[in-house]
Amino acid sequence: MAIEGIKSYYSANKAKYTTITEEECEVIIEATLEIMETAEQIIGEKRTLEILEKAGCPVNGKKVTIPRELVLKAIETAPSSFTLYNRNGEPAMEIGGTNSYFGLGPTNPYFCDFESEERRTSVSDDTKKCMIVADALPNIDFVMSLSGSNDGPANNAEVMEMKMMLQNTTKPIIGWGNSPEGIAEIIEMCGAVAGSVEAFKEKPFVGIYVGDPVTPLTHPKDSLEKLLYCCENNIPAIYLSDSQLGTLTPVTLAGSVVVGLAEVLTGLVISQLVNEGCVYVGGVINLSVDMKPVNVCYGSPEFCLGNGACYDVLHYLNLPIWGTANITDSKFVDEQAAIEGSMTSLTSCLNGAHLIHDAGFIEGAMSAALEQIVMNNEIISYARRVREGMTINEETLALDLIRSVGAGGTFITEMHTLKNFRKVWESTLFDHTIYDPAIKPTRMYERMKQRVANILETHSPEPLDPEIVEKIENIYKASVERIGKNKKK
Amino acid sequence: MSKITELAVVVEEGRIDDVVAAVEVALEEGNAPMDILNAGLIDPINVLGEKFRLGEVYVPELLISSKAMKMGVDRIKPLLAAGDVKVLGKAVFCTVEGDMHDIGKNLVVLLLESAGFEVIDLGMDVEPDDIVEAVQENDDVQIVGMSAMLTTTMYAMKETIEALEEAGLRDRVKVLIGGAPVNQIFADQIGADGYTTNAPSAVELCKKLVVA
Ligand code: B12
Repeated sequence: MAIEGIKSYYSANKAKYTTITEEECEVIIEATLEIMETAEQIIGEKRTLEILEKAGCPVNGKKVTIPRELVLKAIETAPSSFTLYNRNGEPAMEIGGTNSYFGLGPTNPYFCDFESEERRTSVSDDTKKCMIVADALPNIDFVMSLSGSNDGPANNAEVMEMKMMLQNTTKPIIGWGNSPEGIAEIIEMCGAVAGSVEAFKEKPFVGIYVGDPVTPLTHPKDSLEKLLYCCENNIPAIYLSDSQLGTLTPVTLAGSVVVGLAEVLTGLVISQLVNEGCVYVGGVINLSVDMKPVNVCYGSPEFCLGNGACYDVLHYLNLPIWGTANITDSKFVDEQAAIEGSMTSLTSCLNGAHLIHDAGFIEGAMSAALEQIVMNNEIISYARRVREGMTINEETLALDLIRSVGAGGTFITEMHTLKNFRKVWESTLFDHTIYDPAIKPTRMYERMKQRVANILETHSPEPLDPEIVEKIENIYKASVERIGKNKKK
Repeated sequence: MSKITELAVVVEEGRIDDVVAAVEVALEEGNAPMDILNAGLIDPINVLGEKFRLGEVYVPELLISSKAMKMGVDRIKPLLAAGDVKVLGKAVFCTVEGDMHDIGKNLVVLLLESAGFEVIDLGMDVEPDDIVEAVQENDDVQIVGMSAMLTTTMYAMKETIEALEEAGLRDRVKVLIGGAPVNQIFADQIGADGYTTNAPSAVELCKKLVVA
């Protein structure tokens, strides 16, 4: 069918697996464009409304529809890839194509305490520990705070969280904001690390999750203010839609995906109208809903399918993709967490989503656990190996070897084995030993706990220069003052 | 099957396209409006409520049947004597200032309405003053329900309670709070009258509070 005015990158961006076909992507894209053109969306922020009206969107009070041409143009002008650096200014992630990177989740109100294993309010020290653990694990590529800072003022918790993240890992960071003021302070901190804000913007190691539309089809004031701020200041912006089957969106996956994509492409249009060519990362989480009590489900086959369809469509459009995986609804780091994490990690990785967040989360994003980061790291490693696939050539077929070892022989003493056996995936957590009455077997949970304890004891992330730390602390102090002043007003 | 029983089946199955016609058929059969209301419209909802409690029926089924019931009640209302339809109580509900999470609140409101409460739903991101105003304007309101999903917005509940106090309205209403980050300790701290973790128990609590 092919869509006039849109070039398909479906094949070019095809990783190992797709959820829907190229033709199905086209049906979804056409449907999304139709919804954007015919269903009104609420734009809760005045300046955004003016920008859209000026660009030719029909406006009716706070409601707009978005002409097809505007969407096509935005798809055209938005960068299809960009680089996120590490804290030292070295390229760390090439976001685009079929590259998949995994990271932590953001700002949960509770935390599963490592010592007592009890659920309690999260504090900034949890962020610190999460950073140390994530910094040590090879398959956690980027971080988010993975715990709200409830030990400080609430209205600038994001600034406290950034302070903890910058000081405890060199990995790229995705922050969030309560307000544009908070984001400005975060960027000031990044400038302190990089030498100047300009130097930071040249090699950004932080992107900002600006917030969400309120599904269905509503874009609230605070999310838009933050989106505008990031776009205008050339800070990579992430805008994430939250589809929920049967409550916020149609209960059928296809319709749900269309609602989510319509919102995300609206964010894209806004970003490109504000600053053509600025980096914009979109994503849709498709939650199914357990209708008995009406609880959202982060782990479900529909979650994998809905998210996968959105990955395929965004690949088709050649846009940077925000993905979701590893999160569980379980209250514990248990069997459910392992199953949900495995399925979502594997599918999002095979599907080639770019920035895949939410490792470490338990209890449907309400809580998190250090053990969960360790387990997710293992799952990701496993999934990545599957995605890597196998090589078929003369060396790997090894026909001569099969002949020479012959019937009844063994390969374990062959050079070919010695040369290649380390390429076989090795677990750092699984138990493959044979039962030995002299050794008490352990559960994987105990081994994960041990791993966390080892990391906390032995791993110290590269420290920041004390002068930089002082600057960061001062920025935080000023931020707290700002919050105090706002309160008094 | 009598036409009233047929109507009850229509309501129980949530057939909103058929319910008004089924009420009319029951009227034509010569049934008293009061009987149609009780046996044809309210009873099936009670049956469903019990099935819901047992986990046999899910929320969407309960809601669509409630919608059918309401359509039936609307059709029959003009034929009833004043005072025949009992409203259990009246409540004002909202998601608090700065908060855009309304799924949970909507669910509580829907279930309250189907249980027979009248609810003024102020929507989301609602300032304390607007809640005070709503209570002021409706002197029969007995319950104020607030929902918050963010640790940054839950304190708006406290501010609202203070605003109700300042306006001299606090003693006139029971304040109920809910949402994932709040708990009983917080409810006690800010002086709320009630807290629950889910919509069905919120309905039970409201029933208790209006009787008390
Ligand atoms: C859906 C969702 C959204 C949707 C909301 C859509 C909508 N129309 O409501 C969107 C995408 C808009 C959204 C936005 C944001 N969200 Co949000 N969201 C959620 C999510 C995934 C589910 C909430 C939900 O709908 N649950 C289902 C309903 C049925 O349950 P419920 O609300 O708890 O309601 C039940 C009970 O609590 C009770 N109840 C509720 N209200 C009341 C009232 C009374 C009186 C009573 C008695 C009972 C009662 O009964 C209900 C029914 O059983 C939660 C995580 C989670 N698993 O809870 C995060 C979560 C709440 N969000 C969070 C965040 C951070 C945000 C954002 C700030 C994101 C950002 N970075 O910008 C924005 C904030 C926007 C704003 N200003 O409010 C955090 C909060 C963390 C914190 N420290 O407070 C969470 C925990 C996720 C996370 N870890 O990041 N979110």
